[in-house]
Amino acid sequence: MEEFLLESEDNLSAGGSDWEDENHWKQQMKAEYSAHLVIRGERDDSVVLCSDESTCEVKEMEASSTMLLMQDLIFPEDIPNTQEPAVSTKIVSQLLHHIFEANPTRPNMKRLEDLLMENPYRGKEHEKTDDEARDLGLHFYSFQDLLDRIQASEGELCGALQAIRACQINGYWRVLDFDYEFQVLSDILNYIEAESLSIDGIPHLATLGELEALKPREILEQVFSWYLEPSGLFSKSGEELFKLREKEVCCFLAQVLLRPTGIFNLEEFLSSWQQSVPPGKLFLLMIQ
Amino acid sequence: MQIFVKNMKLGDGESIPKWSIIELQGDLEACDSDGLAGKFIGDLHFTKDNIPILVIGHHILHGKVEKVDPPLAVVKKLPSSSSSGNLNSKNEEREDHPAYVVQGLVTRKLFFKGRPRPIITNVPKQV
Repeated sequence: MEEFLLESEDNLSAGGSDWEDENHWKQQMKAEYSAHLVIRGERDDSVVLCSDESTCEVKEMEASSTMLLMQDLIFPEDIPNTQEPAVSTKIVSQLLHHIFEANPTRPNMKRLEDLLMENPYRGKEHEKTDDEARDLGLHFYSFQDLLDRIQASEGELCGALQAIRACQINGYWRVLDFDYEFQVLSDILNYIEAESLSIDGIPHLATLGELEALKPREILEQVFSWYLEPSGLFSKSGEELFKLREKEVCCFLAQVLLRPTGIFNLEEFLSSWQQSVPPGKLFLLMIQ
Repeated sequence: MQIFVKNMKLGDGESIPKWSIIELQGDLEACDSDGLAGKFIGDLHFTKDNIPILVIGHHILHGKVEKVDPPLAVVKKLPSSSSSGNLNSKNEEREDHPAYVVQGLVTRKLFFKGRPRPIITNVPKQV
């Protein structure tokens, strides 16, 4: 039978102190224990712990019991059967009365939308230099700037940026101003009509090449990817051909009609909508 | 801001240290007003049935070995000045944030659920 004498360590704190001051604290790991963990947020936010792909909210749980935290404690299964009775001294590092629980949660992405909507991209003419921006108190956010402010994992932040259709311009993440996005889409649609391209025969590179004079290439690439998809066909020169994403194009054009007025007579709306979508294509307009 | 919770540096073949907890109902108090630091707490025994028994002062407690699932991470706070750099927006001044290091994982504990019973060693004889 093994006996242990327990002693307490010299820098023992008797618990109940502010968690900021404790040398040791304990965190319950419900999420998978991963190599990289980061606490993210602004100073006044509640505590959120992120791994590479997931997010947990952290809550302090007051325990009704006292917990003696120690290294080197020997449990019955660690003691060999043949061992003679012995006495050893083990040190208790800390007395704890609360632990922190980390519960997986969905990150709140509202702040991302708010930050990016501060300065939507309106085109090169409207862009300010860094100095001008600073004088005006405008902020632009790189991926790291966003991680400094948004309480989410990197993986979830990437997903959210994709979902809200953000673009990276000059190293900063931006959303496109609605009217500007309409201009770019119109340029693409007008080009398709002007060149009489077939519905599933739109050449990616050639189209971008022609429109580069009107709009920045990186913006064109993004908008092209949102509203067109590979058609599975190839040109004579082996270039991949694209077709319009019907649903996305129609939904956007519907928004274009509805935004200025807010209220629209249904019949007038439907006929305007039908006229605004590219002609010569069979678009299925489903009204619920 | 971002505050990093890092793993401690481990050598080849080393795994994360195992820490333990002894959980007691109630509070530990020192006899005098000095506080608990550096003081002897008590004796821990295991019976042949592997039941842990804790003797603290004139109290005896019986407990059992329990798994801690999910495991608890023991995390230590490092002072701000020694934390590795965080990337801040170039518009802000560099702030010193604390960093945390995981010191170990607790997967087992000794849980003493019952109330401590006083040990009475001297029962006077009835006259």
